[in-house]
Amino acid sequence: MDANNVNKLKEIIAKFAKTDVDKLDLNADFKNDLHLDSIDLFQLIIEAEETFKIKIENSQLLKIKTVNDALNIIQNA
Amino acid sequence: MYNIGIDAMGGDNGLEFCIDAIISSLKKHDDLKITIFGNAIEIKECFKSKNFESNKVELIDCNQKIEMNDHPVFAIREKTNSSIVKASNMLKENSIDAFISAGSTGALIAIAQFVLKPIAGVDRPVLGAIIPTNNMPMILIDSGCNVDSKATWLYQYAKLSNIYYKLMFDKENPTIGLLSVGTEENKGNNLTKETYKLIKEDSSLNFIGNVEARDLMYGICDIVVTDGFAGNVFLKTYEGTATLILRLIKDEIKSSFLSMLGGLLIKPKLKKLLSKYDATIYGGAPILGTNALIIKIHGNSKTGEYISSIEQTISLLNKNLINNFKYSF
Repeated sequence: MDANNVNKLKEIIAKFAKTDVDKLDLNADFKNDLHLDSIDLFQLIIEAEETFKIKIENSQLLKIKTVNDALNIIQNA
Repeated sequence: MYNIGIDAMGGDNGLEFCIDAIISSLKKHDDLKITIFGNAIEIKECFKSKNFESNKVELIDCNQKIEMNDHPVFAIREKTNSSIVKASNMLKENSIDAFISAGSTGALIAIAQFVLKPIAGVDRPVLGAIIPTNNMPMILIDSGCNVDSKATWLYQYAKLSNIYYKLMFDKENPTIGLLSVGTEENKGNNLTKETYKLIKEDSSLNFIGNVEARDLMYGICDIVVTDGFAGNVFLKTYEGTATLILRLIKDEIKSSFLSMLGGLLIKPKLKKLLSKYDATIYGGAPILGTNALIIKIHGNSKTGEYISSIEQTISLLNKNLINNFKYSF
């Protein structure tokens, strides 16, 4: 994933986290820090899949706890 | 002509009840087409055994089933050959007008959320259960979809169910109550208090304030708003209590010759009374707040419930339920 797409991905995550991209804490936990539930997280993943035309395995989804996890898993999909 | 999709894989009671209902509805409505999602060979054999053929039936062959214990989101991503996923794609493409299913509630909510998407202004699509009361039928919303809710969602449920109630029961300004632990405005937890303010501020809603669970079955409001956790606890307590009371009455009636005689005397009245509390006559529960009409019916539905839900679907399509939601948000 090139730098442009990484930024686009951060924008998607920031939108769901209701924060600005430059304020996005990569170590933030989706549930405890950003207060997103599993539905929000699935919605985020689906939006990323549709945007980047990728498919993330279900087994990978359960591993996503933090913003960094999401960035790594989506970038490597 | 409406084209209604029906899930022939979802019910616990096999194919026959579903097919009987389809035959009955097609005979009644000339302008109806039914698209059946299920095992095409079994469906064809079932129609053949009933000597029924129609060019208003289309079969969509499905060879995967979403089970009740499947993770809903994972299932709709993996089981792309299931009736629920295939129907959701056809709903999205407007190839069918509505979909009736006795299948997994979680999977149906998941397709409403992730495939069809919530309508603008709605965060979470939700199921509103119709509960017969001593007065008019009541909608309990949320009956168990979103156990951790936000006040803004509950306010959206109040708006959605207000429109649904008006169209379903032809009643202007249905009364809306908020389930709490006391009727005073300051009673309840933080979620209830916050929701109270939001609903109260909306003058288009006929809000009667907080209501208590013990009063609901008397029909004190047309719609009761609560989060999915409390709503589901209420629903199951109500079902369990009603079932227990009926069983105790039956046991007592069977306990002596005299009481059996008395039981025979009150049987017709008792049957009449129980029929008043039969929610299946209203059809199923539509998923409110998504971009297409999906009706969820009980897993153990029989012919009568399938027929009621087809009638309900036609009525809600005639009344343009989905567009009414869109205009109101």
